[in-house]
Amino acid sequence: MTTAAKESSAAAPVIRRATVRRKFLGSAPGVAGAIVLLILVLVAVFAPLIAPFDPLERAGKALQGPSAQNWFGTDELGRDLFSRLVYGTRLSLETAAGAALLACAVGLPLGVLSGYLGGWIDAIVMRVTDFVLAVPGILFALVLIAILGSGIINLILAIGIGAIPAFIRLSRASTLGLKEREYVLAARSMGASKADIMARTIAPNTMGPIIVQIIVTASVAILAAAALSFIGLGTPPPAPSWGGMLQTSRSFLYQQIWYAILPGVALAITIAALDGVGRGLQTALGTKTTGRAKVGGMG
Amino acid sequence: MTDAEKLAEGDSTEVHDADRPPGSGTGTQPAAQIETTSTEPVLRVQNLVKHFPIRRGVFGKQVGAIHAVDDVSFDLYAGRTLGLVGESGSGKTTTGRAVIRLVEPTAGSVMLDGRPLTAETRAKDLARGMSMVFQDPMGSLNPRLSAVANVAEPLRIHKSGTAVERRARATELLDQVGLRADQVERVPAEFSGGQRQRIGIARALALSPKVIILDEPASALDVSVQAQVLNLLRRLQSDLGIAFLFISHDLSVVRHLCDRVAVMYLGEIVEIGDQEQIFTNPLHPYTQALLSAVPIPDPDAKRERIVLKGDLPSPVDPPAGCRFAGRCHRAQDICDVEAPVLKIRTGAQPVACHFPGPAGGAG
Amino acid sequence: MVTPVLQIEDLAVEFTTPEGVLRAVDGVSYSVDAGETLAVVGETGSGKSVTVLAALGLLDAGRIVSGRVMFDGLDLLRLPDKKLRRLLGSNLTMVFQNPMSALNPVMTVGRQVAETLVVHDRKLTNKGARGRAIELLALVGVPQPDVRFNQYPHEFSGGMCQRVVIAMAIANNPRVIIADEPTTAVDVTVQAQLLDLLQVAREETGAGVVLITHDLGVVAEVADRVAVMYAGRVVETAPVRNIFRAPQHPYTVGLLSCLPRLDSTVEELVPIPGSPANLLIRSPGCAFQPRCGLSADRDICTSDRPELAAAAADSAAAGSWAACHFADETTAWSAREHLVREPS
Repeated sequence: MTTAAKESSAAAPVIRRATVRRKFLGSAPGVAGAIVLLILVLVAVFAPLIAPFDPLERAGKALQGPSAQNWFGTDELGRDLFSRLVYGTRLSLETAAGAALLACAVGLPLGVLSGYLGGWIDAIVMRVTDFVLAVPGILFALVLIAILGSGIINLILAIGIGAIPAFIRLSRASTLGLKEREYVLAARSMGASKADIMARTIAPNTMGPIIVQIIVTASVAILAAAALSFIGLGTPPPAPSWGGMLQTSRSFLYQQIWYAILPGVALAITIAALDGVGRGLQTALGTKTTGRAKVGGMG
Repeated sequence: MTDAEKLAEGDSTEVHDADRPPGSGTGTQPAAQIETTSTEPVLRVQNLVKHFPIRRGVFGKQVGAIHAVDDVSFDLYAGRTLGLVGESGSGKTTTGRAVIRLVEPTAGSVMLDGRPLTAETRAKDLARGMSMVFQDPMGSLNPRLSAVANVAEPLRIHKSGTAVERRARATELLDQVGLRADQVERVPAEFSGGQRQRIGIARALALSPKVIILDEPASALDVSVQAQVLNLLRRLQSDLGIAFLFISHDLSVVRHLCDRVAVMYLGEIVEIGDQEQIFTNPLHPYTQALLSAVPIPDPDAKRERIVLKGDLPSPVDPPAGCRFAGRCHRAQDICDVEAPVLKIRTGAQPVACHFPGPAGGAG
Repeated sequence: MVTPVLQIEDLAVEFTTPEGVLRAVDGVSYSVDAGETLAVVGETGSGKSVTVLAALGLLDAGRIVSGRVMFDGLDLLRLPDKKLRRLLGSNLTMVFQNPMSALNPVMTVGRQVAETLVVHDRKLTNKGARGRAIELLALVGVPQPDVRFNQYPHEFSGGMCQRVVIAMAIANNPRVIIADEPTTAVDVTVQAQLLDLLQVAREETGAGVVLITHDLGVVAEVADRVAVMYAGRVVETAPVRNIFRAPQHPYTVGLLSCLPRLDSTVEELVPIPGSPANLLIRSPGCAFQPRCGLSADRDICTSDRPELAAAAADSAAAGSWAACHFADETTAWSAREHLVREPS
């Protein structure tokens, strides 16, 4: 009874590299987001080449408006705002990538382990996960930073640890579905060990939703980092963090309006780009994730 | 009087090991096979039982069990094919999985090549002697690995050779099942159903097993492609001398491919015999009903159909006597009380029935 | 002269896929008479299911490119949605492969049958509908229909569910019953019962039955006439005996020769070489040509698409229509290649 139409829809859940690429390229938010994100990454990587000034050094008079020398003007200490924004991009993306990869590196194996082995391991992992999820993300990060102290590494740790449960839940749910699949049975019939099955057969096949989750976590991490810096718990001054710039600029709204607007715009563009990539990936991979709502409270 | 003659005369000796070695003098095996095969079965399954516990409540107390497989015994010889047929719920798939220990048997023994398989037998050692081909060729291949990587998986798991050698061997196996070298880098989704099943078969051949368990390998395929796969299996068997345990609900396919056939009903073998015996002279009323229900692709073939009463009884609490009695047109009082054992009564092949006999006969 | 109750004419359906436009149904025409069973046979991708779904306006995706579907003097493809829906479920009914998904899991089986009756006969009282529903359940062989009336689908076996679906299909005395692989999901002993039941349903209602199947055994058992489909086209249509005794299209010959059979044994099956046609690639010639043994690379097979043509009236295949340039050679060719098996 399988018809041509059903044949093609039956093939849909299968990840075909060529199809994924084509579908992603067919998604407008995905393509736009990817282009912007690529530019942002290039800016972050080549910050020393792009920024005309040292972001920590004085480059002109304080609180000047845009000019030929200081394109976006200067801050209250006379530092070049454009250069600070460029280095801020680096800081933001480092935090985002660090937190997301940390969460994935811990969450994915734990989720697969928990889902595949079940039993007491599963019980313990899930209880701890529930506990972390029960605490609002921002509060959790606040407490961790209060204990660890501020600084970029601690910021990454605080945000990353809070994002682990979402990865555990996602990979555990995928694993529960995958372990009944015939190709897992097939691997068992070949004499593969449990570790081998988890690493080679299950984990790679959970990657679709996990990749989307990484993007979501990255955007949540950028917002959380900005929020924490805004209340003075993120990367401490004089680091050029967007959140920190927003915080300081509040006192100088009348002197230098761009000082307040530009970090906000940078933040918004980055989040929008990540969101676009996330949506494009969801379209391409045919996955839906509920992770956004789960950790969204942090931002 | 030899054992075989005793059996043929209807002596009530139980036939546990329902298959007899080819050439053991029973006269039912073609003479040509006497020299070509050893008399030891490559796979001997004895009194295999698999019950799935049903647990209820907070503490998971066992309140019952699904009797998926009950007291199943058979022998399989090198280069031969034993068909395991039955409808859904007959336990044929569970039997196959218990033999290769994808599910742990509740009781019974499995001997592979003369060595008993126990719970302690390492999965890796088991996989060297026995492999499996699954029904759904899409679902049983790892969707993220290319065809050649899928076939190389068993070699990798068993740390056989270097990565380059494993690839070469996998490419060779794929060639053996009819896949061109320029196709091997594709992922399963890029192949047709028939090609995917060829990949699955190549993977099953990778460790040069003695026995391959084929669980409905052609059922998901279109008939024109099914024939290609069945021919491939026949060719591989005659080239490599592998024994097949062929699990299927399709009696036409079983007749085409199998030397011996075991008919299962509700977890038990009700009749076992040579292909010719089962298909031309079935003795168990269930086998007869099953065969009579198969539509024949010939508009002039008019046959008496035996319609079965009622539904399959629950495997949770199977009937105390003969499990088929409630649906059997020959059933008498004894059938509800005493479970018939699989043995030769009348005719040539072992049958688990108090009143066996040709279809239409009084039994 | 019987006029057909359902007549599909030159139907074409396309799907837009990421890989391109796919013509799943490519100019299909067939008809079914009252009281007749037409079997539509084909493999995956032959378009046999898409044809009927399109004909009844049940296609979700896809686009109907051309064609007419005549029922009772009306073209179903041009009928307003509301009128079409009134016909479906009463005059035109369907039985699907999976009975579980055709039944509502949270409504009792009896109520579902009764509702089918009420929807199309507003004057029917609750009590009247219940009585008639129980009669129908009894007719299709549901034991203790008055008790099982109040049960839910999950309390029924797959075969029993399909009986209920058939009861719903015949509830309003349909003129056409379309059964799409109705026995594919059930065991062979249950299949035998359901096929018998379909015959009963046809006799009770006098409806024309379109039976879509891939199983030639089922075809031989129940069909009066057969349409064989390949790559979105009808390649042969003939009375059932002709299909098995004197197939005119090489594809039909291939389908028969590759079949393992219960009534005879052969050393080797003769498979149809190659893979099913790729519908994304439309060739000007015959879609079966790449797999065809009769064509032997003759130019016309790749350049001209064959249309259905009648077999000679004095031949063994009188009454058959085949879409093959060399249909008159098929019989000799299949005998030469030993593709015909005499039943034992």
